[in-house]
Amino acid sequence: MLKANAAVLATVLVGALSVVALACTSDPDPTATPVPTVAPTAAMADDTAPAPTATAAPAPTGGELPQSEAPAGTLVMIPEGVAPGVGINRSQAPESLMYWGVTEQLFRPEGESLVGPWLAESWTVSSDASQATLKIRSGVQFHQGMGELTAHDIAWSLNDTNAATTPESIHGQAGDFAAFMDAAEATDDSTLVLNFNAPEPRWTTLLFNQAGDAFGIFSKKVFDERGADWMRENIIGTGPYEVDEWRQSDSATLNAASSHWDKTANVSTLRLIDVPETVARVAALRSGGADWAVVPVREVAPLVSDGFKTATTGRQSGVPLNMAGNYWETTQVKTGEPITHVTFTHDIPWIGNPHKPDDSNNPAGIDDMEQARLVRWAIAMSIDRTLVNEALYNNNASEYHVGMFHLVDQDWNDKWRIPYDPDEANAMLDRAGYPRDEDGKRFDMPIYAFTSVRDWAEIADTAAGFINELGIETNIIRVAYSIVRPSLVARSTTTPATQWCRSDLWKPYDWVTGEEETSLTRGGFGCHMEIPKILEAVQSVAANPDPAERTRLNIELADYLYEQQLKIGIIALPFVSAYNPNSIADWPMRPGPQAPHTSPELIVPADR
Amino acid sequence: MRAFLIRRLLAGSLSVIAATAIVFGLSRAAGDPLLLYAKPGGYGVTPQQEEALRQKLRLDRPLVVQYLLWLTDLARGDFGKTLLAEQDVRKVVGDKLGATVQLGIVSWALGTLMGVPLGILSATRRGSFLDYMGRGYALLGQSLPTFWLGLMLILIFNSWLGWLPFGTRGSTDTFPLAWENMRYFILPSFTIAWGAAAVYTRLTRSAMLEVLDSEFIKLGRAKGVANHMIIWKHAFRNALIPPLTVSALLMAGLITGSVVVEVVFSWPGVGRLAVQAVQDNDFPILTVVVLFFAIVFVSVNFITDILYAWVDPRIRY
Repeated sequence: MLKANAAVLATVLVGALSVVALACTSDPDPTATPVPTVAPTAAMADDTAPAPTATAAPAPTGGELPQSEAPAGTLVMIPEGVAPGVGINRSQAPESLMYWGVTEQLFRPEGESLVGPWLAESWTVSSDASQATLKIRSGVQFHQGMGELTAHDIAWSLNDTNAATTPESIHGQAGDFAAFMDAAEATDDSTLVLNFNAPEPRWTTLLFNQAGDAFGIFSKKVFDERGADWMRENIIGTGPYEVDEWRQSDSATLNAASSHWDKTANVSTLRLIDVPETVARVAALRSGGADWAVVPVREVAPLVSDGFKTATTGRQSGVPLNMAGNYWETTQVKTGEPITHVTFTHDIPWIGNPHKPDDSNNPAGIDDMEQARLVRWAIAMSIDRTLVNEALYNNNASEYHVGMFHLVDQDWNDKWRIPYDPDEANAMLDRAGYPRDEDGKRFDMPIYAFTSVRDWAEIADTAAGFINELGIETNIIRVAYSIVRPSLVARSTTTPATQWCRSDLWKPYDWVTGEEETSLTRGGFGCHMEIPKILEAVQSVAANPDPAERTRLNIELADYLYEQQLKIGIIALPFVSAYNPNSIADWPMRPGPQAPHTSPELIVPADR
Repeated sequence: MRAFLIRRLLAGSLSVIAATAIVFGLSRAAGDPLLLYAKPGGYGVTPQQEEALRQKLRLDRPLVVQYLLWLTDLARGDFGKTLLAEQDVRKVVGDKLGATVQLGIVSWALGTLMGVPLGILSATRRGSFLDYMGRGYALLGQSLPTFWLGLMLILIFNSWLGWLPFGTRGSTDTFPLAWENMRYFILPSFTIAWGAAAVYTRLTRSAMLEVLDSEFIKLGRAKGVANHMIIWKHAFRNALIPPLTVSALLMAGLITGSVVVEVVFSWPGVGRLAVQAVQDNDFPILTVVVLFFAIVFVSVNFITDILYAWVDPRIRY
């Protein structure tokens, strides 16, 4: 009986394996259609924001690098992830489509300027800044023979994204667009009119630019003929790469369009694979299993010393300790309704209460706002940023002092550096009325460590180590972000967090910064605090057409943030990728403060 | 037997429905799903958008009604759409199912082929060097963390030696059982099988030792029955129930629980999808994944119950 059973079991096993394996074979690939070549046209640029500076990497010492395992003409790339492959904005077409050259945008960096022409050849803004008129490039073809791009496609794509015109849109920028734009219109095939209802100076540099966020420009004709469901499964762009296959959290295959209006890609196929574990990414790069990969900052030095090369758009993410719970605004700026505060129920050392500045534990002559400011300053001064950079990142990161304002910038002022001074920090805590008890403890402070990014969790651990030395007993909270997010939206969090917000990404000093640290984004994400001074700066900068004046206003904001230490900067991490020079000779990415990588059509393959 | 099977089927169906109901409820307890759209880096959700999305996602209805509507849609074959990309959940989950099931079955087969013979060898050569090796492996196999073992295997066989690939499951354009693709199975399936085989080894060894000490085995030996007949026909058959029980649970566990290995080896399976769905609170995906997991567990347990009676005629329901 046993033999019979074993034989049956074996047969069932083999049969099941075969059935499952056969059931899991893929569908045939779609066929690419050639598009005609159109010569690019030079045009004007109206913004001269400086390009970001990449972090210097150590010089390579050479070494024996692996040969690529990929066939000739194909590069295997490991980005941060492979997002859902959606080809329609209302369903959140991913930004990576633009970063991988599948879709294109209105503007892109050109030379020294962040704003150069791309699909928009030229543009003018009305004197009252309520309208922009853009001339759209002709001769741009959609993939798979889906016709020529017109201004109608762009207007439709913008309106499909904008929550004001498509309320069911779940695009990441749906609310951003609704905050400053009404419906876009195409007056003819080559003229696009944008109607603004509020000042938003970032529309050229961030919202419609390769360097920043990305709504996709898709075909209205395809939508009319095939519908939204088809577009959710099929991606039709105008860029130098066409999507052959796109599998969420798995892999994607991009083929170079046989001819492109601007630059036909040098590499015929890009195979993107999703490798979430950073150690595994580096291993793949080192073994020749991948030709390019986004790598952790700490891996840059060893990779470079072994002969790998690095590429970056200059993107930097500052990681601050956001001193949560300081909700100081009194009315919601968009509605005028009074704000109900929920974080001042108990006296929390790092939270100042401007609404009731006198409470039971204030030392003589110090109100609650000053008491909390001293605590925040003490925490800021307890962190040795130089040591963090050296110990965790081999000095390949840069110090981050005042949240929102990066050190790697021409407008940085060294007066904003926070000294590492534990003695003075201890003295400040004594002054603030938090003496050590017999065990050397002053008070408890939880810190939320953003667990989805390992670096941030490590930075939280490191900061906690310094802060503990002050007698502040820290407790690192590691839970999924979805657990914490409701308290950020509801403005009810009191837990300091090592989480960067948009304001912590590198950007020129004349850009608006800090919307999420105000009630402007109520209903959506809020970055742990609502500060009237930040709101004032956001509104002033947004309304000011003069870049120099905007910079001056933001420098005032930096002074204020330095004084208040509401976002205690720790370290700024460059977004770095590394590649195997046996496969890639060069990848001159265009700069992008928000973009992880750009312009794959510029990749120069190595001879192999 | 028939009454037992009907009872088990009914209980299994109720278990599946209960599991989905719990997950459905918990996903709402984790916060308003609309918060998914209020992501860092934006002005968030406008009031008009919120109203439109609540209606579209049926969040404006009571939770029980939402769940009943979901069950009704499910019965019609409509699994709903993902929150993040509004894609067909059936397609999104279905794309990953194959990878997870393939890896689970291969790992289970490998674990069985490694662990059971080792357990038998260890038992039949009790006190020998081989036995100590087997017992040592049983201990080590269960105590080594999977993620560590996986990373070590990557470092050794991919990074240092360059023998085996990882990352995805090979080419989707070629036959899955082609060597080109099977190479991708080796490291992750061995990582999973390592722990499973240790469980098998320990269990098979102790079951075999118990049977080998039985009077009927001694009688067989006294009658001069050949050693291989004693071991494989008489002892192993009688020692089969514990490994069979654990085998079924292991198979279900390997299919539903290979999340860590899927992350380490970038295996595009349901486990990774589930983890991401939990982080995003993408409840349409989560509920369907739990439905799948529950069906796997209930089915495997059901089949195991039948196999008990088949393998051991003394068992009657």
